[in-house]
Amino acid sequence: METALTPAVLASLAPDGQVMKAGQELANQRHWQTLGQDERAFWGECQGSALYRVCIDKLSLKTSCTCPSRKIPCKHSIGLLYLAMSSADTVPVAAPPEWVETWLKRRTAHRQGGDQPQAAQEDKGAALAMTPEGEPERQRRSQRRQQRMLRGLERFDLWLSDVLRNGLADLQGETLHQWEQEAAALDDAQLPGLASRLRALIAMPYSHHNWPESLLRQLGKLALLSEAFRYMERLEPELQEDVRQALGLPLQSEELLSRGERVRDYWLFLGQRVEQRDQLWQQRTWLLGRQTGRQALLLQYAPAGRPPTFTEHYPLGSEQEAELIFWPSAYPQRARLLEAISPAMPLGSSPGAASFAEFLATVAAALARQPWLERFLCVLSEATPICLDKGQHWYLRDRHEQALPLSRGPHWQLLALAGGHPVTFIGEWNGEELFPLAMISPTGGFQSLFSFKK
Amino acid sequence: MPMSRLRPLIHYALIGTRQEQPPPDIASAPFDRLVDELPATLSLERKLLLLAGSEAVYAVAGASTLPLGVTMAAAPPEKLPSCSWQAAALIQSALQQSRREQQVQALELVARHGRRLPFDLLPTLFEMLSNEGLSSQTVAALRPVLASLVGERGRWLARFHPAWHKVLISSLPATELSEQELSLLWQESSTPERLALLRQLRVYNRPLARQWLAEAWPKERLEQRLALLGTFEIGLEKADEVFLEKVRDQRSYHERRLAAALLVRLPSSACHRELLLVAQGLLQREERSEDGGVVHAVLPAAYSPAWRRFGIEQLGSSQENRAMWLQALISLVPPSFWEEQLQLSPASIIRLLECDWRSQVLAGLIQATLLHRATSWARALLSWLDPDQRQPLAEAEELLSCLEQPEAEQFLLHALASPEQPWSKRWLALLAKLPRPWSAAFGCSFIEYLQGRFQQLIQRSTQASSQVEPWELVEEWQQWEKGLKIASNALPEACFDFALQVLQPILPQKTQSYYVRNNIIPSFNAFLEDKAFLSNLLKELER
Repeated sequence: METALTPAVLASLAPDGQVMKAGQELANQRHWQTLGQDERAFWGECQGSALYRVCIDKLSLKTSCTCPSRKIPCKHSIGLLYLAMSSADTVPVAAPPEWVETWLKRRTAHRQGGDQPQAAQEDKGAALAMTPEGEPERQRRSQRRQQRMLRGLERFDLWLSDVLRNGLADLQGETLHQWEQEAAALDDAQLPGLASRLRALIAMPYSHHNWPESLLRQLGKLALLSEAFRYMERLEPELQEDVRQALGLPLQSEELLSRGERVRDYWLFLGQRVEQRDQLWQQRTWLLGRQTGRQALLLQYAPAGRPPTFTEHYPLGSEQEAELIFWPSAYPQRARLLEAISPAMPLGSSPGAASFAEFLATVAAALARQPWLERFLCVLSEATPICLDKGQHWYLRDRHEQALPLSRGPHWQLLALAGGHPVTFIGEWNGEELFPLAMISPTGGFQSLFSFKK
Repeated sequence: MPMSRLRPLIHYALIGTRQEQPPPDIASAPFDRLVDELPATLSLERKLLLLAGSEAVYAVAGASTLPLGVTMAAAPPEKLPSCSWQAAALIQSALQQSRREQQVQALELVARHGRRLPFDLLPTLFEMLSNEGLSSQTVAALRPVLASLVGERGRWLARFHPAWHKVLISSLPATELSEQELSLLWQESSTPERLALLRQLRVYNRPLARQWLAEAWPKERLEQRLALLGTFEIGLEKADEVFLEKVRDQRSYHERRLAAALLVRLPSSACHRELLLVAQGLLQREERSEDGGVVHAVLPAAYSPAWRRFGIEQLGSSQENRAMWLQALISLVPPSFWEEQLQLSPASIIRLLECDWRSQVLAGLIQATLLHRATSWARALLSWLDPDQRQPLAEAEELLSCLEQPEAEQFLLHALASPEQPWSKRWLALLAKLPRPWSAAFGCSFIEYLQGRFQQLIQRSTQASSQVEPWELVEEWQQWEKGLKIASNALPEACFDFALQVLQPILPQKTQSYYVRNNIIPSFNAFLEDKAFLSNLLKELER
């Protein structure tokens, strides 16, 4: 049975290197008493200290194992996936035994009930469960909050102007400590989005040669954001949503479900990146719709301070028919995977813009609708990674010999995989540089470039 | 990239508007009009910030590319197939750990199976090899296989990274390097790398090897000089004589001695002729009717200054010094010389040797056998037992390397067969000298031996009542553990599965002994883990 499992998917599933290695060792038929699969699931019974039963839902890649391990997926699940990936006939097609059926039924019931845990992970702390309350109470609350935010913004604006008045040149130590305090004040004023954007700037002074310009731009964008909120009524309704989200006003799960735009397509899971933001790990997964050509960004969060584990696992380097729901926006980008309709399949033909000119035109069009977009998925076909000055400078060149800088390097992995040949490049564009996430080559297929050091 | 529109503003932002205010017309189109439209009550700073924000969005929306016409030749097509992704995943997990020996074995296995690494593992491998902390042993072990492991893509990639490039060219056959690369390597490499290069040159370009060595000679310290001199043994030829003769006049005894040891291996050399004249009569046969006769060693009566050029020092003229001259001379003479002189076989010469200086003569013969790689003498010296103590000769284990592999393995198996065998106690010393690769038959027999020995030791350990192991037993365990370590590196791949069948993981509860639980069991289990890993890799490579 054909499967879209790839080493990249497996690597992104395994919670750490140890589980991955142990899983590899279990990927041998002698450890398994039964093995089977149908169109919905893989299953098997693995002989460990006891006989463990493993089930894997093909649609969502959710795993279940009777072993006591706290690492999910456990080594048995990884072992089973590894086996399934190794060759088509190792895991035979069969009728599922009863224990598998029972689990699958529970899964289906769970899916119909909606994936609550994901919503919780998506809206870090913001998704306070809505208690049933009367409309007047809700309005009063919302007004109170609005007041608080405005007061917070007022203070912030004064501070921002002060920063400029005093100059950016001596932003170090104690001065930056004040930035921390300012971010905390924004949190108190229920503006966590703004606080997070401000915190992201604290590391910027003296981080690279062009920092004054980058910092000034970002401060300017914060000023624009607060300005937009003060004159919200002048904006179109969709853009108002963007301003609210950028400031950190959450969209409740119910609201998303009722107001979000649902898009069904064959979604290509093209790239993934994990970054620490504030006190959280943020995982960004980039999708591209084969038919609609739309890009989608799936976000997940995990607490910092330990290796991140995320609830949802996406089939990186594959495509899957699925329904996404997009957050309301003037340029909808952030989405949630609502329902997978069929199991993931290997990527078909390579997608991608033909030139940087074409890609940058779509960026400009997007910004014209939503100026606070921070990142864009860049998929460029026939792209060549270029390394100059013995690894000092890195560029990506399109077929017309036009180039954009890659993120501060090095990018040896990308160079090694491309070998000076044109490939399909997948990366994140932040307006200044391209961060490589993956690439597709005619010979090697899809290869993930970002791997979080687990 | 075009000049940023924000540039004029940055100056004021850096020093602060408190110190210097920008001119009123700092905004350029299309934002000049927008700034003008802002309420007059808005502070200057606020206006500048809003301008900067708009410019920021404007800049991203209007981002432009950079024409980049540099030509970069693409990597040529590969000659070897890549190993499967399953094998690659195993290699990757090995590279992530710090068990160097396992890494080396895994990588050698890939190369031996005519596979290369997939492209995505190349940076990891190069990074590991260019790490300054890596032992020169690991680098040396991987040198012969590196070029095939990294393939064409690796060669292409290394050109962009100076440290990787150096690692690569120091591993390539010297015949594939340009003159420039060769001299770069020779000038800038570490001593082990230079030696490796010189050894290669001794195979295919000896005139260049001689020229480089002669140029480097005056600048090097003694240790390096000796190492460089050692490379002459590869492809030793008549043309080397001139340089080596000069070395025979050096001040250092070690240099003179090494040069002489090289020259005596060239039958046409003057040094060889001189030596045979000096050697005449040092050993003499006395025929006796009753017991087949004896062989006497005759101490040189006086020191000849000419011996200085053989690396022999005078020191004094006591009996001990004279015996030392005797040993030094014998250690240079081709042993076959004595067979001709005395008309006896090596075994007979050793057996009939009868004199006060027998141990010196035997030590000299061992050295000479090693120098001239005389198989029949190695065989005779290894089998000879001291008539009084019934013990083999000290330091004779070195001679195992002079035997052909099957014979050397047989010799060792014989020693292992029973504790009554004279070499039985020194099995570990022999094992350490056994040349590699081992044959599969020997590897399997040795594994069986280890297992048998292990059972005995465990049994004796359980009998020992206290937790403290008796000292003799610890010593035996230590030997066993060292044997296991040697086997871990030398065991041929054909024995992996056999080893995994025969040796089973030990459960710690089997023994009370602290030593066994904390030293033996961990190293035993690590051995098994290692072999299981390599056996998995092997299956993936053979798939």
